[in-house]
Amino acid sequence: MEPRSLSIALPVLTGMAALVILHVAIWRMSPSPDPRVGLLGRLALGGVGLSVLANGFLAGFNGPDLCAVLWIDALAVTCYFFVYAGVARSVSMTLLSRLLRCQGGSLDVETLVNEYAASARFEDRVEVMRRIGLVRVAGKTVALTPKGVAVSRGVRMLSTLMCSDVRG
Amino acid sequence: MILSTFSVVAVSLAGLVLLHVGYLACTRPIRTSASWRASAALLAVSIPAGSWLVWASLEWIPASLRVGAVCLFLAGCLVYLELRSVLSRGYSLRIMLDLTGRDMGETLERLRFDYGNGVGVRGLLVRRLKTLARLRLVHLDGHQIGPLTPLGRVVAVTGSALRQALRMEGVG
Repeated sequence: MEPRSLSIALPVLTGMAALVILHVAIWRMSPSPDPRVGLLGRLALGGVGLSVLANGFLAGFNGPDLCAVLWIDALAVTCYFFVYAGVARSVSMTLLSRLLRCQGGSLDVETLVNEYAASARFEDRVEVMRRIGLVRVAGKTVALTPKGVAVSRGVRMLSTLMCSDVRG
Repeated sequence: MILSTFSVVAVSLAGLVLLHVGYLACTRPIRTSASWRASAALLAVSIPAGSWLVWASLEWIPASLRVGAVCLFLAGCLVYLELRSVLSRGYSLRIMLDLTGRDMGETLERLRFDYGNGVGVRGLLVRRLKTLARLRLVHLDGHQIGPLTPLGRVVAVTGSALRQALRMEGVG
């Protein structure tokens, strides 16, 4: 590998390795059903910062190389978030995992749906939304906060612009 | 040099998004349940084509920056795909939309029952199972779901292992 390629590949690998190690360590030390996307975003920024510093150390801070590092990092971080979204939030992944554990490999659809519906996952989502200030919960009643109303308007507008239906 | 490289990436990405959204807008009145195939095929062709376009139009810059530009384009494509995915299948977003206009709020039980314009959480799960079967991750035979296909097994084992590694077993 050319020295110039090394001065780009090594910083990217260093930053991403730091992100993965810190992510796994923190998530393992303090487990939570909350996806903690904000914290993961800060870790990703830290990883990118480390890449930039490492590139500066290896090749001096020159614009084109720095941009190459930042843009390759952008792809790596986006892929990481893409996979994490599936791991942390995907209903389909939960259903597949349940099928993986079942004896005989198959289940009655009604049993699977009942099991999922009886779990606290719906309430967990509402609780995460309450924590980030999108809804307020009073007793057993849930309502949108002004921030939640603004976000839901934004979502409607964006989905109209992108010709999408929020089916859930 | 950096600014013009960035412009090439931005224009290519905007072109891809406009092409895809334009296609969806034009076919909206005639869309059927099988239309997703054409939309996926359009993306499957236009993303590699866009990457090639970015690569080919930046012959004059250093190779490292050229690779970076293609990576930035692909990152933009992934953001677009993720945004579409959240907008069409966002579970929590749908709960928020269901709550819109109900100023006094709603009970959890009612929300669960009315989820997704009255489809209910059960309807959501059945739809997800049908999608998994359509993607050939699992066999669906009438009222019986399973077993997992070899591909479905790989996805399930990987996903479960990642959830265990992050101690996120009760999520999703």
